[in-house]
Amino acid sequence: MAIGAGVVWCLVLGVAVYATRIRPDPHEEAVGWRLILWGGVVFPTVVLAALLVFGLGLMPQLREPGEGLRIDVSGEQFWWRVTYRPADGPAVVSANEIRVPVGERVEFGLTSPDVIHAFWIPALGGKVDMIPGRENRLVLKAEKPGTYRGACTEFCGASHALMAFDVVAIEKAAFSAWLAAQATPPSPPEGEAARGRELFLRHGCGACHRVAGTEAAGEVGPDLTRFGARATLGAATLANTPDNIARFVRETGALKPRAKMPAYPNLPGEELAAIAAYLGSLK
Amino acid sequence: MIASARASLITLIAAPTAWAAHFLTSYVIAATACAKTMADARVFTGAAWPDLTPARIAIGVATLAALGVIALSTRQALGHWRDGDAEPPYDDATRDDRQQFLGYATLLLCGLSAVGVVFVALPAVFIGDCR
Ligand code: HEC
Ligand SMILES: [Cu+2]
Repeated sequence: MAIGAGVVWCLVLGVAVYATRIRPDPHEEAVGWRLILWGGVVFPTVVLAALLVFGLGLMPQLREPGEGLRIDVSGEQFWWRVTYRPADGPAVVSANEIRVPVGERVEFGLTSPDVIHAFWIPALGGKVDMIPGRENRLVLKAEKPGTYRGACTEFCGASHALMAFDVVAIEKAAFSAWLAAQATPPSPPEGEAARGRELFLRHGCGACHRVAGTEAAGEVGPDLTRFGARATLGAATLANTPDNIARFVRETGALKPRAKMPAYPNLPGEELAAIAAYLGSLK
Repeated sequence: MIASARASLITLIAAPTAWAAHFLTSYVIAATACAKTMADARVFTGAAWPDLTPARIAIGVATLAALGVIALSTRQALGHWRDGDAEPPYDDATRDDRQQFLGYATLLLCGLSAVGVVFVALPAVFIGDCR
């Protein structure tokens, strides 16, 4: 696409330079007519028709069933609830980051419990709305391993611009192994992280967040079972570092206006550090 | 009024009107067909999708009708365009200039409308169900 845009840009500027610098005098009338007919009528009609036919030919694929793996994504103010539903094996709940196997057509089920959001991974396909009470389908295939950026593309409130996610495409075998490993909860934390877990539970974070293998089973906010494995924090708002976790918990609303999580401005710094160590250890 | 020896604003917009009517008809046909057949088709069942063939045929018929109207309008516009001795750009205040100007403009609109109708109809060729 960039190459096409470059070619068009060069052509247009080339014609402009030709007409203003190289041959500024008027052309013959017949030449003008021919230019209008071929350049203004035939060329755009043929190019647009070819692009339309090409695009329409690809469209049915976007809606055909995938190859087995289905990922339900729910857009919620202002984060993403992600549920992997492999053809065989139990569902796996996660949030704010989506892993997909390379070379497989993965089916997405898109919805929302609150307002309209839209799901868009520009590198992989077009945007599809997430509409309360409806389920929209989209089938995508990542051709190459890598991390692709996705974003909410329908204004959904104060932190709409802070509602993004990473898509991590990994090889099929690695993906299957990763998905199977999600069935067992992460190993219990030690040292400071163990104290962090205690604080996490004591301060009631578990009312909204789930961490598999603990009493924390809330479903209001993102599942934090493998939070430490995510590269970002707060739906790709910040890099996932201990300092940023502490900041996010202390001043949630300042970092993410209207986020549906209370800020904890009164937690002592060392408690925040322990909680951050705990959350970072969940891999 | 539309089939008229005299070019007018009505004969001028005959082809774009056919294009607009074709767009509306195709849209309504596809929307009602999908709304009716998809009402209880579950999204992820993987079952066969309701067949849209009747709707696609109806859109095909509408397309032929629209192209027919545009063809007739084209023939008439050619007649109007040739009907007189005025010289381009047909901007004098005479009967011939008016007739030929409208005829030529109608001809160009016919070309545009024909392309528009074909582009509107193409999805019905490629997309066979309501997903
Ligand atoms: C009232 C429910 C609620 C409570 C209580 C709550 N959270 Fe949250 N939390 C949320 C919501 C909702 C989000 C998503 C915010 C967003 O990104 O829009 C969130 C996001 C987070 C995130 C970022 C998750 C991610 O995937 O990036 C972390 C980390 C977090 N909370 C930690 C905590 C900790 C630690 C506590 C306890 C001190 C806590 N939360 C208490 C609702 C809650
Ligand atoms: Cu949004």
